Amino acid sequence: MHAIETRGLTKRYGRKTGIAEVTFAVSEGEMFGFIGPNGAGKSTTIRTLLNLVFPTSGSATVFGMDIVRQSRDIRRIVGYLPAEVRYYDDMRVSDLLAYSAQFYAASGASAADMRRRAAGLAERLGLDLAAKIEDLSFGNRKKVGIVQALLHKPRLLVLDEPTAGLDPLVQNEFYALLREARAEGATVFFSSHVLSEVQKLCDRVAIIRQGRLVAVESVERLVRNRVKKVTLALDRPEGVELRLDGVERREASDGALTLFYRGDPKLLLDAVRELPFSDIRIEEPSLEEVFMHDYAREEGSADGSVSP
Amino acid sequence: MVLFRREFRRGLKAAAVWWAVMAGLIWVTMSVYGQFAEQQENLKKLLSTYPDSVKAVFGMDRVDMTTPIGFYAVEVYFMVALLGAVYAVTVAGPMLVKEENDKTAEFLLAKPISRTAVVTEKLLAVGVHLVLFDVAAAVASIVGFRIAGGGWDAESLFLLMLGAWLLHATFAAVAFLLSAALRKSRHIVSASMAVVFVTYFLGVVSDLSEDLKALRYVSPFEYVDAADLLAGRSIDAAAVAVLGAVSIGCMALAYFRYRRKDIAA
Repeated sequence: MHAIETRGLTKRYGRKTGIAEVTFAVSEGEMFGFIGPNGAGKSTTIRTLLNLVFPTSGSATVFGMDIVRQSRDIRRIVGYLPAEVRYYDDMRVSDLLAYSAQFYAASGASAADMRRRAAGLAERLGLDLAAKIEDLSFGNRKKVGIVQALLHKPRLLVLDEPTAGLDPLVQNEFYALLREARAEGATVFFSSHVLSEVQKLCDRVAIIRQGRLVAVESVERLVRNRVKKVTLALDRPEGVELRLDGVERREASDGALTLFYRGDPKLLLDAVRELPFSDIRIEEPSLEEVFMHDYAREEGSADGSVSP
Repeated sequence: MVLFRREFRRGLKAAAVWWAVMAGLIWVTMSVYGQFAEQQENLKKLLSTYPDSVKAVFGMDRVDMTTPIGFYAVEVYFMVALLGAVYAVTVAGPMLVKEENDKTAEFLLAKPISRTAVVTEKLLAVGVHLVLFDVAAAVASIVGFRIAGGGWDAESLFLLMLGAWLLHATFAAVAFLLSAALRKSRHIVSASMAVVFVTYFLGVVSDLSEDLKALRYVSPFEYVDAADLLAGRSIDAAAVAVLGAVSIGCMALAYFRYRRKDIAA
């Protein structure tokens, strides 16, 4: 059985399309990334899975349960971290976590276990349980969200941009938590617009753009395909001659030459060392650029019917 | 019942303030009755000079204002009715939509609770708070009668409070429907507050002149008019039917709407 399976999932808001014909499957126990630029439909997909919004057409199941008809049963075993974490201002962190636990306790989870877990998680993330929610910074509210999502040992974790706003130390602790959850058998589904984060954690990723699924790929392949963005600062970049295989695209602009290069970095350095550049920058292309680069051509053919 | 407990407790502090304000108003007004009764003869003469339409507005044509219960019906009851209606819409109006407005719906609706249960438990919280308000009003009124020197009977007071509760429940149901259907809480309380005051005003106007008599049918306040309640010793069955139908209709629509609502991100 798949942890998540969507079939032609579509959500329209009036005439505006949120997502169109999204089809993919996440295996149980998998760590699955969902990447795409802001506004591509990541949140819409996630919020449809949780039945916060209703699909216009298509369907989806979570552990075999229908996302609309069996939503409550699904939510019993799902931990959800929304992109924008906002809680009740009149509560303290401990109140919020206790409130959250009560809903799961009402459907059978052990209240004592959840209390213990909350305390342990809060300590690891450096979250003050006595703090008032309204006084928390964005990062600290996110921590509350993380604890709240993990509290009841969910079988499926659905995390929408979980690390945005977390400082690097906390991010590492968070990654560790995800790995532990996974080791205990949980499935993790999380969205991000940071490629490197997804790369670090996930087995497979789905790439979404303008509401349509562009590809579902193993991270391995994504890394193998990895393109570097090389920017050289030099005069008259138009005239530069470069003998180098693997340059997929070059752009000359005022005082800079930008190359999208796929290949051995040593060969790149050998090739550019003779050039009269005054500065060099080698970086990961942004997600937008990866899309423009790798997936722009496939977009027409890939209607989302990608099988894992 | 997790959500009900939360909403009930969350509303208690504000409720206590409303009870206190209302009790204060009742007591201040009832304390005037003593002096009022002393000058009965003069007042009767004074009142007889009032135009009939003005007397009708305050129900003075049907109840004897010189008795404590009559005085209560004319001078106090409209405050309980009006204040309670305002309270009802401030409680019911934000009840569902505040979760979306404050983005806490993203938390609440990700918990294992059905939309139906969310509506039921929140509705229950509104209902219980309204009952408590009217019970508080009844208790404050009994104390008020003590201040005025007695002269009340349980049946009359019960009838008046039941009428008030029916009125408050109706306004709450309308506001609750708005809360289920709309996405922004900003306008809901002000819109439903406008409904309260406009219908109250229409009720007053309808008593002023025979030509405007028909207006009383659009004012819930006129359905549970204190003078009518006391004179008839019962709540008009048609009034109960109309207010009940509006309330139940609004609640049913609220369920229907909220169960299919897309929660805005």
